[in-house]
Amino acid sequence: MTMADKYKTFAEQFYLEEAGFFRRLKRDMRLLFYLLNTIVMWARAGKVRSEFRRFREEGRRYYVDRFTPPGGKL
Amino acid sequence: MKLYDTPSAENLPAYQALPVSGNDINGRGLEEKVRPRRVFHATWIRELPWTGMNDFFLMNNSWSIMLQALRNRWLMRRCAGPIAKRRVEVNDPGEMARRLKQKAQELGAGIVGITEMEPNDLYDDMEMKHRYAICIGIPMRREEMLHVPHERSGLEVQRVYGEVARVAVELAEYIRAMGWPAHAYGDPRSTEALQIPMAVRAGLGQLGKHGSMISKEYGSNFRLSAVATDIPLSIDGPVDIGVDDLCLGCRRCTIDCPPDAIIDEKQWVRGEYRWYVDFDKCVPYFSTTFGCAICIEVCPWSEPGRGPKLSQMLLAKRDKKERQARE
Repeated sequence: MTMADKYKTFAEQFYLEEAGFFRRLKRDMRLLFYLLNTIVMWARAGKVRSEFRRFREEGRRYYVDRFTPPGGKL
Repeated sequence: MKLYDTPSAENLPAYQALPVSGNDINGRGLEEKVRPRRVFHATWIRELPWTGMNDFFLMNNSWSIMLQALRNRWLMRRCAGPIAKRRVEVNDPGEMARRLKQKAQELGAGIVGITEMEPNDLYDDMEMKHRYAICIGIPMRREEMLHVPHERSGLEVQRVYGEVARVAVELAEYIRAMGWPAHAYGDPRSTEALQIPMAVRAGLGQLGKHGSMISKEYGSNFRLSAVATDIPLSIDGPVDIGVDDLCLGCRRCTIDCPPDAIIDEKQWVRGEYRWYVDFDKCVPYFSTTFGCAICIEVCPWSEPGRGPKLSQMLLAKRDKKERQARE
């Protein structure tokens, strides 16, 4: 299975060529949810930001492997 | 010139288990033309090797930058839409090209050029659906970009991404209202198109050593978007403003790049011999400094008002050398 088969691109998820009002509304709700998810991720990452700052001050290397999803090898 | 001392390139975020090199994904060393593959700014594909660093970059941004980036993505939902049933016939592609360029400038574009699209302008999971690309550039405010590589310059970058995306979205809506298909490409985290190759062919400028475009009007200090469309248009050609004449000898960006990511020699990249920046060195620093942009700021072309005279001088010098060589 290729990446193209497995994942819908951002365009495929959210861009509509021809759509009536209700389809566009549904898309807007999905996109808002996606953006809200991003905000929540960012807000919860305050711990990451302060941890990284501390590591830098202490001269320690900060590894980002912890953010790599399971199976992230493509 | 920049206002702040540069943050150190020591103790950058890194991978303990190294992923596939981003340079390999980008096709460095490949002499045959292949489609570009996604490597960064595509966090919906969770299995990309550099997703960890990409997530860290998003998490490390400030709230104001995050908010502007999300506003840009919200705007981009309008990049595609319904096409008017009544089509405006185009008898003179040159006149239509002039009309659309004027419209783009009325909407806020700084520089505009038109080219034909090629399959390699899109990532390998995308299908080319339109024939032409109208490429748009808007300058960033120099007084904000002097603050590289800090939050203030990062916010200015996102602000201009939003502006240039808005122009592309509204221009695409204008073309669709004339009965022709049109799709806006803007904001690197939503886009599917490689802006720089299209803009180079459209005559907006040339590729610089630092991996960004250089235009005569704005130097390196601008951002791009594009509208892909099938409306018949006359196209512009690439320009030669003398970028290589300076880049071949100048090392300003190379010296000022904290992680030493800028390479002094051209490389083969997906079938093209061109300037290339080392992804594996650049991105960790980029991810900790709000998108960095030091190279853009220190580039001699970016000094306001300098571009036209610099171009004239470099091209005159080249002409003189060529004449002397012939004699």
